[in-house]
Amino acid sequence: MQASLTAGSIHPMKITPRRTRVQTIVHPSIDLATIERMSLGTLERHCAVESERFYRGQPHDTRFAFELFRRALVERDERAWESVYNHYRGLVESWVRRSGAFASSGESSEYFVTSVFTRFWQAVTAERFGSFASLAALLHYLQLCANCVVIDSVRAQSWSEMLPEESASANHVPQSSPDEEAMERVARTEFWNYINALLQDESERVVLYSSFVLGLKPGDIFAQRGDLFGSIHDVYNVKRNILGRLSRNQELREMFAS
Amino acid sequence: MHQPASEPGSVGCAAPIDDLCLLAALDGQADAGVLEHLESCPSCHARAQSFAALERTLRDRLFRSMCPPTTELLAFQQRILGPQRYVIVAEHMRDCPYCAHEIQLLEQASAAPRALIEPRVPRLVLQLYAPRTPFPTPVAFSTTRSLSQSAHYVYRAANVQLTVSVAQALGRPGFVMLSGMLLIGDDLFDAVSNATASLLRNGQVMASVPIDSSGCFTLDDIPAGEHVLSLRLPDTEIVVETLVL
Repeated sequence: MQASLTAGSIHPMKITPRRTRVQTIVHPSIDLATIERMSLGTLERHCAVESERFYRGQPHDTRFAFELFRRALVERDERAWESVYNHYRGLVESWVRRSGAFASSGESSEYFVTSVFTRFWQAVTAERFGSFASLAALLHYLQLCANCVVIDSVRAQSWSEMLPEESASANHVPQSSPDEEAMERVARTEFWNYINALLQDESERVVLYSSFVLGLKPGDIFAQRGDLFGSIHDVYNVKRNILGRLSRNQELREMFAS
Repeated sequence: MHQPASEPGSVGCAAPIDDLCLLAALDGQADAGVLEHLESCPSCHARAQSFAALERTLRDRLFRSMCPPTTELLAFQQRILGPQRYVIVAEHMRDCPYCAHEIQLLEQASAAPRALIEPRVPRLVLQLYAPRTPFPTPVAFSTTRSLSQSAHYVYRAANVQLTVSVAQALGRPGFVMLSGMLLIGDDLFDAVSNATASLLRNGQVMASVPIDSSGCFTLDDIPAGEHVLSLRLPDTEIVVETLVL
């Protein structure tokens, strides 16, 4: 339940346009070596101050937060990673909530936030960290991870709408690693290539691809490819021929049975 | 496996529905007469179910199987995909309404300013409710670092109350420790998630800490003097404009 402030006592500030550039500075008394030797607690305190300055549009020093990310991602320091999570989860949540797909996802923002950080952790290995030259680059990539996670949710929704629950298979369970995802893609491509080789002409290819890869109805297929089909009836005719041929294919029957 | 009978005249049905009508029925395009027949005729019903099962299997294996993974979609949208894959994905975009929709979502997200600065929020200025009172014993939420006498303040406005305790930092003359407890109406938790408490001097943030789920925070090693205490909540800023420490 959201607590709210009593109306009438708030003095709203004039809403000013959001600035998109904030000056970064370097504290002259704190060099990089000092930052790298800082205890985690001291680093966290500096991060909190500099982040607050950033949020208020004040000049700020990004080196502390960058060092926090470095310890978390290069040294794989779990306490530093926890600190990164706690420090930026509000920001990630705001990105997720701003996404057009979030409202219809049915998932909590916390679910997405955890997924975003997990994807970020998996993607930014110690070896890849060197390609991020600044805190801005790291945060930009974190934002991109947030976008990817939301898109994955949208995809899962499209599958659940297209596939009845009783026939949903492991094909559409989100894979946890890039390797598993790649293997699944290869398997699906191989299956398509096998089916494609059983087709006789372009019209069959169009019907099979449009019906089952894109999930289009015959009416939509006819609307898009009136050059190939004289009527919706023609589309159904081709579909019937394809399904009949596939149902008689012994190899496919064994494949589906396994 | 599924073996839909493709010829009319299936056993057990005097007037079997042809395959095209069965497929149309599965797509929800059949007329009432066809649907009625399917409900009452086991033979035609079985043929329809066979088609349906095969379609389900094909859909399960093929639906969106050609769609690029989200990471590649993102690279495409960011214009950083390799040229060969860019052409392939661009061609796919022309046919796939789902990927086209996802690209649109990514475009919208990218179009939002990359700035991380939150928009200005309404500001609530608290007024001193209870004057400074010496507090000879440590307040419950202060650390044992400061056992010297602390001052206790209460600020209020609307349905917000802020209790502040200030104590001299032990062994650190000229420095203080400030502890606070924020209360907003009867429900605090949601209001203070992702909230911070900061001290500003001359407009510059000098110290900042997160506010915990109980509404408590502690700022230590603060140089004595005049400060502004600002509590930044997701949708409000709560301010004590003059805090003399």
